[in-house]
Amino acid sequence: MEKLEAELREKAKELLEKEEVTTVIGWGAGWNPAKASPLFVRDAQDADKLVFNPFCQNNLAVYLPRLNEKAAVITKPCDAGSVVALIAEGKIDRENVKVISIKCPGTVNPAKLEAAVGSLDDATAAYLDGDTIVVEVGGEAKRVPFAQVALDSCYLCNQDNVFGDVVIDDGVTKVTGEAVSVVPEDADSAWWRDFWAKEFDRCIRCYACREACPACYCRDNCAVQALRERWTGAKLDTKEALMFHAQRAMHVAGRCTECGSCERACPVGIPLSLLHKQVGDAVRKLFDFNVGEKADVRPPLEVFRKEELESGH
Amino acid sequence: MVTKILSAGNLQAWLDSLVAAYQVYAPVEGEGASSFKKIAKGQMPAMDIRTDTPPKGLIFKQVEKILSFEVNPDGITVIPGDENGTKKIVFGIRPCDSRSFTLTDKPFFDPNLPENQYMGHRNASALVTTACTSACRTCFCTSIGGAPDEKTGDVWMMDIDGKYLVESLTDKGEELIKANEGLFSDASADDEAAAKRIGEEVANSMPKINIADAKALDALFNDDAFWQKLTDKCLSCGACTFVCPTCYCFDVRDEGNTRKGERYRGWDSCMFYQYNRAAGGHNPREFHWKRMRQRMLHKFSYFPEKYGDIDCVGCGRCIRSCPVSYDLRDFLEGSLAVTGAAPVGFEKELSDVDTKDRSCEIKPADETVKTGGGL
Repeated sequence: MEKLEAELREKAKELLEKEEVTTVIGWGAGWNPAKASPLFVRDAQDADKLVFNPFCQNNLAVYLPRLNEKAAVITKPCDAGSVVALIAEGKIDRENVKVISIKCPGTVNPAKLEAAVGSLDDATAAYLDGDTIVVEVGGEAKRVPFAQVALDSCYLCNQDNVFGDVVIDDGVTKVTGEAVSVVPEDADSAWWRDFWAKEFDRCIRCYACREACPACYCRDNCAVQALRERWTGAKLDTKEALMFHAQRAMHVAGRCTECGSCERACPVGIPLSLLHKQVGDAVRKLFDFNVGEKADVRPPLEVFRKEELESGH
Repeated sequence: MVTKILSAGNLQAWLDSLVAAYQVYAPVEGEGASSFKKIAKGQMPAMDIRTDTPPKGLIFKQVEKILSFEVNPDGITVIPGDENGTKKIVFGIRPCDSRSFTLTDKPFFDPNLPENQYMGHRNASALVTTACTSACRTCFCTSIGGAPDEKTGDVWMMDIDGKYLVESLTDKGEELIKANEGLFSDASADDEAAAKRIGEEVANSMPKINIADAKALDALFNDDAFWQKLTDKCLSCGACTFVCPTCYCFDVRDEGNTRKGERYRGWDSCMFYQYNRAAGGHNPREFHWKRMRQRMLHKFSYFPEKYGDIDCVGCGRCIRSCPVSYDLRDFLEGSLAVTGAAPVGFEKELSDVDTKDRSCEIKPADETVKTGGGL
């Protein structure tokens, strides 16, 4: 990991010194060792503040559509998929973005880690030690196998063909494990209705999920907050929250890479990944389309193909 | 006012007696997030947690019906909104959260512009504050004028080695103790000394951050580079404002039609683009950094200038809940060492972002017809 970090800093420094970009977007240390924080490096001498570890959770592609300068972005394979999707949608000027891609060991799911070791709020250190995540709280080192606390999507991640202008491959071993799903195999529509009624009941409509999502680039013009054509009402209840989340899920259908950024952004811990996986499964089935694979193919719901009509979809 | 001792074993009995007479809200663990919830008889609140969401919404409701209206042949009938006189107790509230209501009272109890709905809920509520016997890494109440054992609310209590020192601070609070006098015993000078010692220990364990005064911060208003650098990673969501116990911005929306409808007041966030958008589509705070500047200066400059206190209680929820781990303390400390550097990168102007708000778009005419002058 140290070697990987050193290469990353070196590359960032080089891009800034050669003035190929004016900023490198990566991760720096957060207030908590178990929470890295996005970092915009604008001076080559600050490149040493860049870090890379399994706590680098944010999908930094989210910043690209709004930037008005030449930027390099550091991506994990899942985030690189978001960059590809944004290029495919024409939301990024390709010549303005340099992608530094990392073949990573995987990312920690904070909810799983907290379930295993307790609150991370008072952690004084957190790191990957071989195949074990170590969290130090109050002088005690709590150890848990990485395989037990990684993001579900990490287990399925294929790093053979990672997109990037620069790919940093330090030969790290990718985490393997079993995805934990709370969805029973025979879940029917009634199960889902009850499940989301319970989960959305605590939604505070802060829109952190939306703002953390690279596919939600409408940002300030989100239909949910449009002044006219009000799709969601003023009342705060489960129904209105469901309307918002269902609407968002449909808007990102065929564009969502299921990176899980929305879920991790949620201050009240709503498992949004399940919603997006459900929609993603439908897109894969209906359109035989994998988001983030090809930069020259428009998302399926953005185009109409005659054969879709003829095949009865 | 009275100071008493409540044994840990009698806490449930006191709570049950309160639950029988009032709606009692207290910290409760929940899936995904802990919060203040109405408790039932026999239910022990999670006394040792700091809730993920603040108790703000118990008094300043997230969404509340202000009124409903109906046009009839005689004019317009206006019916007042939700009933707001229900007596309730917010139990186990931390000193920081308790303090937050005294701050929000300032604008909402303003005699020139009273907020009746808020005042109704506030007057019908009693706050039972539980002093902190430990601090989180995100706590900074001592830096903004508070304290982990600050005596605020109607009743103040502290866990001193397995029993509670309980003190009434108002008549309302005294009533809650007196009605259950049998559960309490007299407090000794030793008990009060123990509480004082614990409070000091906790306060000393918290790092102190220096904060520039209101005027010095206001002088940073035009330092665009400072605000841009501070904001570059901010996503402009509303998580910080919605978990903040003191953020009190709201929006008013009508639902229904011109004949019959309802008017709601709900939390809004200065971090949202729409919050700042004016009629006609102009937005004076079109960039993230201008919205961040508004949030920071409102809390640490404008509010103290107007009301005398910083509009932040140092609970640290904004730090814990931020999706990009933005740390408010970086702003507070960074503002003391402003360098006056050149402006850094900008966000795109909204017009450059290829996502027009169709609902407000004014299309140019398809064709320009020349009249040949004369007008």
